[in-house]
Amino acid sequence: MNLRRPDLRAGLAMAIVTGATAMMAGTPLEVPVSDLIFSHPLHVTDQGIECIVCHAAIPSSTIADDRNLPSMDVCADCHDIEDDENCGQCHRDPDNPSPAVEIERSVLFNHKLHLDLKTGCLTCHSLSAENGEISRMRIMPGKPLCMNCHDGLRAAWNCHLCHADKTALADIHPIGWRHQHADQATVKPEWCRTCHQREVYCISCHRGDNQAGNIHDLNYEYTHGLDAQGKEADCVRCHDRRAFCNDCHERENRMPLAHSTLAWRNEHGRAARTDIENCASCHEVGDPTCARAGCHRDSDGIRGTDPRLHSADLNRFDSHGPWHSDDGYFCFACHTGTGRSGVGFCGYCHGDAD
Amino acid sequence: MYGSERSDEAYWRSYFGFNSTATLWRENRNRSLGLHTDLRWTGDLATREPGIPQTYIYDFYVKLGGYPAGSTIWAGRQFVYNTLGSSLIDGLRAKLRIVKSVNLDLFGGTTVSHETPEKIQSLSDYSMVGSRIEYSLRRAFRLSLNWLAQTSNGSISRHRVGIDAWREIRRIEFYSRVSYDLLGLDMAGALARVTARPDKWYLSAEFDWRKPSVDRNTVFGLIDADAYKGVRAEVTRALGRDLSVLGQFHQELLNGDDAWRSVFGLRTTHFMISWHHRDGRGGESDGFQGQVNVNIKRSLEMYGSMFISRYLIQPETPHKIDAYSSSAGLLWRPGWTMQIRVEGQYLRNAVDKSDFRMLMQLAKSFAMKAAGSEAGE
Repeated sequence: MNLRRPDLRAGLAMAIVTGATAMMAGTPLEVPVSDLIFSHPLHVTDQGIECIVCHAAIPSSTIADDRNLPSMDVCADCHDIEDDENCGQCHRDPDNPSPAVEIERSVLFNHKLHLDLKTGCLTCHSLSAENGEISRMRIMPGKPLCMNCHDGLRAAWNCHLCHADKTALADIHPIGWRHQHADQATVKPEWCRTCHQREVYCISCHRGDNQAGNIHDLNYEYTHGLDAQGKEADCVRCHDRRAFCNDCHERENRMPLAHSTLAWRNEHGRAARTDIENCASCHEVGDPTCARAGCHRDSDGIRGTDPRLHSADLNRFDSHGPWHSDDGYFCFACHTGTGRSGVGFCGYCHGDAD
Repeated sequence: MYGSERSDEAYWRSYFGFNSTATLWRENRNRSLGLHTDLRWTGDLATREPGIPQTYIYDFYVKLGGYPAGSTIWAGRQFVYNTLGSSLIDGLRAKLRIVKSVNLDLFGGTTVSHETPEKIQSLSDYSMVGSRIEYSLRRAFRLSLNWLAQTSNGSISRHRVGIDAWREIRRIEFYSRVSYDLLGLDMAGALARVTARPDKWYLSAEFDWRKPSVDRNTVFGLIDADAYKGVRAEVTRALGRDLSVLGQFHQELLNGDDAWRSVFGLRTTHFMISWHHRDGRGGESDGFQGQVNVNIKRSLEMYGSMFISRYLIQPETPHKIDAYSSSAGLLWRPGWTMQIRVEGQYLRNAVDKSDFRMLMQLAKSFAMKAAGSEAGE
């Protein structure tokens, strides 16, 4: 590894700095703090008070933004709220008491519908022991809990059910999501599963068709060269180059216009070093193209003269490399196997002729 | 059904997809044995093409959960991935919990040929094995070590190790990964990304450095090719409950032959419109994209999209080319388990002055419970 290369140093530095920052930084999770002190287990489990006593509006609530928390008047049915000495019983800061803060919901939820279907409160709202703390955040169900029933079999599994009109990819994920999602799926698969529970989800895109234009624009067949050459994405992450690119490019005889210019003979080496993926998208393994023009052909078998694709002292393989048993190995696109020590390609390693 | 009538010929591709998840046995919520299948049959009513009709099995695996505790084992055809690569394989995958905060993911098998998916390839010629061991701390920090080896055409085409770290601090995520090529004994790639979600904002920036994705056992793997370097930035700002503006910038650094692209857009609940611009290596293009989504009724959705662009891919091309595509469709959900989609598509491009396509889709999911069983789907 050549660490003197500036681009390599820059990449490594970025990765190390980000990784180190990530490892050393402070508090892991944001925990909202409420002014209120309230224990659901104390009221519901110990005192046997029905949920509806305090949350009287719930049976008629049809949207998540309804304010379904009880007001202080409801507390006054049992507690003496006029006694200023007792404020500290419910408020952490009795000198500046404040009500529960309503959170703006981004999803739809119909309490009435669920209660009409005989879904009990405790199906979604668990009453964990909280030792007198406000239970708001812990008692609110997360999406994984919804998905226990909404799996498409027991109950509907459609984005629009909760996310209203937000059914397009861009509504839920940021615009660069296609580029980033593989990292997220690898690092935080459980986060993906909060919505995409079905086993088939990955393959529904990774099967490779684009009929609805969800992966690429419908005209992508004609404009994909912009992305492929401009490195918008690593095409090979999704597409098998051997089958995918060659299938069309060979059948349609699509060749870059630059190939037919006189300058190409001198230019193509630089082009190959700049973007070898581009060459590999059309030229197959063992493709005779490179040797056909008389350039990359090992005509004399003398070490170090030809071919010009790689250094003469190339030694990346062990002494039992696959070219010994495979006549179709890519080395033979340029070299000629002689089967004799000291002669031609074989002579590169096997010494002088006997 | 997907029909296309171009200037000279017509296609009427018909598809039948079937995916199922059967619970063969379940002891409790965590211990179970299931069979999952996902296959698609493709035919054509109008033309005859090589390879059509085709039956493609995407998934066919048995999944055993809970043995040992906290572990899952998959056996059969399945999609596998880690940070170093991905593939559809015929083989095994095991996700094992070593201790509470350490998980090990192992997979291996023969890779599936996209040309002959009905065949299981030779293990010595086409295979992939990989692993990922992950340490996680309080769901806010993860550190993983990855390994992947792939064989193509009978010899090793890719052999890499990599490390990645992810950290979340309040509304800021840090992610970085580095990979090393064990065949070329050189760095293979590095990426660093920071994403922040302060109130009403989405901000993301990354630097990506990678060597070309070419198989090491091909002539292309011998060329000492330049690495690709890219910088990306993305921002979204909510201006209200249903309105936000967004922007994206990407510059690919290719030794002076750079490529850059930018996107600016406006998004509301019901529509999105954006302007795309590219320049530099790869060509140049300008385009407008629009999307609309309207729920006519709770069970009926109308949607549409449009993308118009003027582009030039190769400098030798005498003039820019126009491309236009649009689609409009209805999505009807007559019940919880059924979905019907009818979509019309219209394209104009360099080859076809008029290409009209029709997509019709019916999806129905159903559940069955075997008599006497405690749970089955």
